[in-house]
Amino acid sequence: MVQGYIKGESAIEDIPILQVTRLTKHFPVHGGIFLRKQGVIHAVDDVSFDVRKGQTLGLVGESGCGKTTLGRCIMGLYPLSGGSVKLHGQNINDVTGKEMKALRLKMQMIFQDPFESLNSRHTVGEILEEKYIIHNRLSNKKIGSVNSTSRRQEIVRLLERVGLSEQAMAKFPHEFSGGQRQRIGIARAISLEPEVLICDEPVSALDVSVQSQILNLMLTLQKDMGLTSVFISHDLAVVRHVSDLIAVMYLGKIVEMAEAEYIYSRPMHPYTKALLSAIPVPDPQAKRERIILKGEIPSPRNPPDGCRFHTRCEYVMDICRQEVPLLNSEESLKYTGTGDSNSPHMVACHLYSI
Amino acid sequence: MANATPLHQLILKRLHSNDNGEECSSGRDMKNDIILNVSNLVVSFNTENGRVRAVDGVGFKLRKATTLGIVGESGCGKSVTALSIMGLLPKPSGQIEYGTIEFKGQDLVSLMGKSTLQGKSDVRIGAALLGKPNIKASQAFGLKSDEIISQGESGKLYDMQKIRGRQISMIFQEPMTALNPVQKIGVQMNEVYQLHFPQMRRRDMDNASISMLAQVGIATPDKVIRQYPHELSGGMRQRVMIAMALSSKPDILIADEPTTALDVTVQAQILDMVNELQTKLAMSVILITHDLGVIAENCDDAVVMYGGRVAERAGVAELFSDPLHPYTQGLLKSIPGLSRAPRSILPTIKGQVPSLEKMPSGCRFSNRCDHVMEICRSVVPFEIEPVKGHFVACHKYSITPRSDIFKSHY
Repeated sequence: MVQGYIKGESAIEDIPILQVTRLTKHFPVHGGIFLRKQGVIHAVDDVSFDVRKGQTLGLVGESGCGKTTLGRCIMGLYPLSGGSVKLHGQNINDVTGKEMKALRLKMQMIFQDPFESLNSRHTVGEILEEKYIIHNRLSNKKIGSVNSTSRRQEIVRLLERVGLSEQAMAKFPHEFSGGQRQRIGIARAISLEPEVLICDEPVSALDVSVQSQILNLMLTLQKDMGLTSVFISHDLAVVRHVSDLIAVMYLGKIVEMAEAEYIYSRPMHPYTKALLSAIPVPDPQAKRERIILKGEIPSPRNPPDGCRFHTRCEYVMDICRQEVPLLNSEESLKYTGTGDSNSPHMVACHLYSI
Repeated sequence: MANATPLHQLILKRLHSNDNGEECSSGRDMKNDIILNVSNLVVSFNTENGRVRAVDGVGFKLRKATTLGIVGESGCGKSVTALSIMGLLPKPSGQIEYGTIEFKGQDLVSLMGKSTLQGKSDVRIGAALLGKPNIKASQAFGLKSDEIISQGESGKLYDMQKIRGRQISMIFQEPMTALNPVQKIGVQMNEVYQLHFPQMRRRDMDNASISMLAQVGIATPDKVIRQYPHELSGGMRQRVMIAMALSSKPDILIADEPTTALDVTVQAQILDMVNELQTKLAMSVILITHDLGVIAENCDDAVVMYGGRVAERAGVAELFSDPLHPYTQGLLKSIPGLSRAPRSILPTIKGQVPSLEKMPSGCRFSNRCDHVMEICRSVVPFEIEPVKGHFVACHKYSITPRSDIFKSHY
């Protein structure tokens, strides 16, 4: 049982907290007069990774690559089409509602749009209190006995922790700026001291000067609370800044996964290379070779056979059109010499398998 | 005017009376190579809390066949500046209070008419004539569509219409909201020709649209002109927008966050294409963005805006290698760059952008600035030029010559 798990021991550092195995999520497409199933959207296909305690996994990719769907699958918000998500070895798709509720205590999410993720008719105090009320019924030891005064004190402490004052409690979300609202969202996510935090584009909607404030807050909190997190973003510079491991996604598949520094210093997959070369660098002197990808990302409804990137790849070979390349670590280790057995540099590309 | 109806004359008379009697110079001499000179522009809006100045004394120069970047955070007035140049400020709440926008020697502000039109009917006529000529609305006033175009020959309004969409074009951030969802791409593209080249034949218009779409990198232009906007991807829509804006071969293209809604690889494609067309057509581009990386890679000059004012402007190389304004320095330092140590605490600019009603007096950045002095809180800093071609509005530089202590390390 999850509650029986003792956290905070140094020995478990190597045990993966979050294990995603061959996760697949297909959305059916209905149409016609009788709304018959006409096809499926291959949102996430055969994705596997482990995240260890205290680690941050960055998920990058362009819109439509399935990174948000993957985040939601990990949270258990969608039923899976295949594969499994395990938290501390417990399969989250295989539990009763009551057990799921207990699991949710350990996994929380921060959303992109701080406008839409906060109830506009509740004060900030009410928004933050809701979690305590809901999970009170679980008679969890840690917060089981809080009454409303101690809850109030807890919320004030929480607000201070994310850099807001006590006065914020009585205000409504619309009275805050985007950055402050994201602070409220973070406060809500950390209020029950989760172990895993799924952050779905948490700073994408914010201005540059506020973005760095929020990133600092998240890094500090993560260090203080020993959080394990999955950080989803399309901004490669932001992902690199916060992540230990980075997985690059394209059309529902992970094409390359390695430690953050190696992804940037020695990218292997042609898509990763193109993606990195497309980031605008705030330095006019830095003249780089830019790889302009041809064409557009294909529809996830009819993903190309073989390697999904082959329609846009400049190194395309015959085998790429037929065989699906696997995320193969041993071969790529030979090529890059980066990574180790714990976190190998993995790439799914036929260039490295022949 | 000979065959104008009485109503027609009335409209023209009323509209003229709002022009403060200022004559625009029709001289087309180009001083140096400055194609657009915005100076001391003040734009205000009516809000619930009274009038606020969204743009307060903005000035910059756009050189011929170059790209000028305007960078700043949301609410800094960069989009309002662009809309003012186009004469597209929402009426009647938005108003140019002061300043000039000189395009090829003529002042666009006086072309647009400085004051809001009085009276309900005038506003409606004004909207019909000042904006994109709305044929239907004008017909409601008994005007035939060709009269709306021809009447301009004697009035100043025609001049602004002739400039907007013809000599100065604009593309917007979200192409889905800028394109008409119920009209095919071809029909929307032909509108530009119908307005500016009414003598063109329909078939020529179609052909021109197709060749324009091909130029912006659309693989199947003859198919796309028969499609609706929703059938295209975000990148394709933005390409269509750009094709539309460039179809009249404008001198200036204003791009308001053209790639913010797009992915980085598509952004690279689009900006690459714009740069290519810019060289080919020798046009000037104003690129508005919040991404300093986009500015660094695509612009020749840059303007940094904060709170409706210009904080700093300079050539891009100069601005990034030696930023002078504390705001620019803070912005550059706070970006999580690839050259920064991962998981390190980023330098930040404290606080947040105050709303326009709550802007501090004096320097608008004073409440967030690490180098704030007594004078900053009370006196508005003037723009000075400590290095040639590098302008900054900061008291630090007007009191003492630049000291190295203030220079940030990069």
